[in-house]
Amino acid sequence: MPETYDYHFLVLSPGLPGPWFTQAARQFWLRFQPIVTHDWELISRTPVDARVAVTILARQDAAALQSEMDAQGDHVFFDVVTAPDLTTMEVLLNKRARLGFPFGEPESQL
Amino acid sequence: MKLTAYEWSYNPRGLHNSGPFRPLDVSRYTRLNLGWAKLVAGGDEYADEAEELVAAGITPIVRIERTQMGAMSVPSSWYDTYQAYIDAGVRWFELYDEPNLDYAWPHDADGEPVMLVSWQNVDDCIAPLMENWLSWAERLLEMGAYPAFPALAETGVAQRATVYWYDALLNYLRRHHLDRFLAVINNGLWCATHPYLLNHFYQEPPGGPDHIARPHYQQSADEDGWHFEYPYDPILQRHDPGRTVFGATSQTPYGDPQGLVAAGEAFNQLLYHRFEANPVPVVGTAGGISPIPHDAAEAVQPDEHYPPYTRDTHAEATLAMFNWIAEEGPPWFFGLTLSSESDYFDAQGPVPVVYRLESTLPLLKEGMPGVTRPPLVPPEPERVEDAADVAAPSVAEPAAEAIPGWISDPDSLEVEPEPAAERMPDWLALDDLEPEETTAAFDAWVEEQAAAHEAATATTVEEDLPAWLEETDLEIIEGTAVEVGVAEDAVGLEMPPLPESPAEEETLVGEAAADLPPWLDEQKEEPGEAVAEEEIAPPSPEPAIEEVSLAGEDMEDIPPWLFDLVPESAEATDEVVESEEAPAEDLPAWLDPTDIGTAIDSLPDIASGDEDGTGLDMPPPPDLPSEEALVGETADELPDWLDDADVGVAVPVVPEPILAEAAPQAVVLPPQMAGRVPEVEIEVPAEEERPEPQPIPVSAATIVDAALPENHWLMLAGSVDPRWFFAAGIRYWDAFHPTLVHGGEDLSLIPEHETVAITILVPAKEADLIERQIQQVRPDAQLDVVICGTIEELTAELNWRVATGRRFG
Repeated sequence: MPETYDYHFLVLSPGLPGPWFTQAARQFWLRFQPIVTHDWELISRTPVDARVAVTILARQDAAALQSEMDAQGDHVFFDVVTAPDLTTMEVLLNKRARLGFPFGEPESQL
Repeated sequence: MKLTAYEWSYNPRGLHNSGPFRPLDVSRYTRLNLGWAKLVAGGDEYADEAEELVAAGITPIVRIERTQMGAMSVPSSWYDTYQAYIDAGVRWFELYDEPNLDYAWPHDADGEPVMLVSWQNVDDCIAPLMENWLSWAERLLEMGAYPAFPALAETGVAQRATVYWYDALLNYLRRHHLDRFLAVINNGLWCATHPYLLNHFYQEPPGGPDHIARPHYQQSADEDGWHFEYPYDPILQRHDPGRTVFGATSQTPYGDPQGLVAAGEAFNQLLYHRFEANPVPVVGTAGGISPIPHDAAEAVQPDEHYPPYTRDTHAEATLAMFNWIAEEGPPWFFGLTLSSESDYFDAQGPVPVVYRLESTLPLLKEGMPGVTRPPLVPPEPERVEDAADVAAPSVAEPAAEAIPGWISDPDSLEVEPEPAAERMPDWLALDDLEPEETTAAFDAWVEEQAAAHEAATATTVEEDLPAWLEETDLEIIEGTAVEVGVAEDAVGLEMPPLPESPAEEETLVGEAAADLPPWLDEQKEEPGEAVAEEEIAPPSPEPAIEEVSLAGEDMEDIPPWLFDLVPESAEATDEVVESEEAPAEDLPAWLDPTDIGTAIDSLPDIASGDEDGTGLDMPPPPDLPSEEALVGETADELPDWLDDADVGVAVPVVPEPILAEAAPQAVVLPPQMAGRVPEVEIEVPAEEERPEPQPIPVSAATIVDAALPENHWLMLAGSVDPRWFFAAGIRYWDAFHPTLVHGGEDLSLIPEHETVAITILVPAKEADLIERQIQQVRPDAQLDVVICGTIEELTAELNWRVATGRRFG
């Protein structure tokens, strides 16, 4: 996983209500400012030589987005963050924001 | 071991450090007059600072962290590290961190936990956790330290459910290591919790009543009337009578531990019923009122049943919280370490509570040796008569109280206790149960409680109230007798049980009118504001709304956040008033009463069981297993109902059009109404009669055509503070879901042959420049420039668009 990306998208899994972004991902977005979109076409238009990361917020898994994920090129890194409820998601994302790791804490950190 | 025997500062104030191997500035802890310092360490790097903290009268708590350590057994080398801290004067230690969440456990290459993380997975989760923890705890005790029972994340969601996890963990210890665990309890056990209490607190007005919250901007830590006893506070007990930390109502099938002391209450109740042990100390080792608002204008309201808080009132509430712990909290709750040092000092500079704590001396915990302040609450009778703290489990002991005895309601102490059998959860009575059966009994008990609650709500409200509430001054204003027009106190929104028959409605209406507290009676007599009894419509299928008019309020003092709240209450009340004349089907779609419940807000409603934080209709509670279904079920097997419940907790998907329609009911005040709140009954004009908003400056390139472009981007441009989006734009984003970007660098991703409209939030002085820059890249783009003057103006503009269904100006 490269340290930086040319594009970083944030996508909510289908059916997730808005507060999963506006509340749970608030600190995360303020820190990393990914492109927030529901438009997978946008992701597919990224240049194949670009480094692209997509953070997906999901309640259980990202199975509902599997077809969209499969349609992307190999240059796209998927970072699926799952949490059973809004509060847990907020805690997870706030931790990333606090520690400065948009894609989670590397094991070497500790 | 008695509570008074533990060595600590007696000062409940605390702060959590920023993590392992970070610089630790001890002066930050001393200048805030703290009593606790939580040190998450990678090794012994904080031993010197710990010694300084101890010398300054601050009690350190140390947890050595490893990521995804799951139930890892403690390496022998760690004990050398522990010894270094003990030599520095540290006594309080933790092991493991929120093991009821996936992230605490090892993951496979696909990023999934290597096992099912559930309280029902005894073999992979519960057993190794308790086996390794118990060995660690015994070793710590030998070293002269106090070991913490692991802190769990506080959640009421299915397989993560905190109370279910406590139940499973303690049940395992009772079954396999009873004597060993009793020894640990007796010699220094304490429980770490993580109370992120959201906005589950409030301050009642001077003189009460205690179920009404002051507007947050009137809150003062220097005055009395604070409530941090969630879920036992009067507001929640009126909303969901009978709720306890274990749930006990249909809204909380998996418990409700999201209060300051709730998880500690659950742990100590279980400790008593499993082991007949007296309470052990509980310290919140992470948490606090969070998140901390980033700017003065932002109001955070995760749970709409409680007031929002701002950056300033966060300071008042946090100080009040520590004072409450010292003076009114349960005797076993010793304090809280706020998360975290970086959030309070570094992320946005020192936040207001830093200065508030700095300038006030701490109150010490009542009842501790040397703390002589007279207690506010008469001492509770000893739970266990024997001088020994713990005895072998007996089945003949009296039941625990459903409402904890530490609740400081003097009136309640005069109440004749209910018969024990009626108050003790059956699943806690272990007389006839094998350990494996207690979980099933827990489920059965929850089911019974839910059924009983539903049955009770079909009769009268009074029967739902627990005894300690009946003795207070609370009045039930059931679905009626509301003040129309003034809604300073958004917490007046109520969701009381609904009557089911006309006769019952009449009874309730009569009772409500008669039971109005004096201060509401006075308001009722104000000309033009009261709703006559005969005007009161029959309760609609939607919850009635109780509004409270606070006399003497200066309307100009109403802060901006209220503008989002006034219309919804006003409109909803209008519906109630007008529903006799205008049947629901005659109302315009956006006023359809059936939408009210889904419309109010997009903020989460955790207290009401909406753990998913949607603010939408309450998800149906999962089907709980029948007793027959539970027969033969082993703890190791995940029953189908749990799987279903997990899915069931997921909020039904609400199509975007519904959200877009619903939003106007939450915010329909046009921009020109900013700055005042209507004082009298609000009439909701027909759509075409509504005054046009006074739009804030919009570019000449404003989009006139309602045709939707293929791409709609919302761009924060120039020097606009990104936080303004979260202060002003979240309803807009939620309604229209534009692609959100900061800056225009990524516009090249939009093909030239596709149409694009860009809503640009930009300061006035930079608008022209930004427009030109974007037009150079995308000359065909339709630009919708929204000038960011003040947050209030921006909020009004964007919310007005939501209200009128217009994406563009």
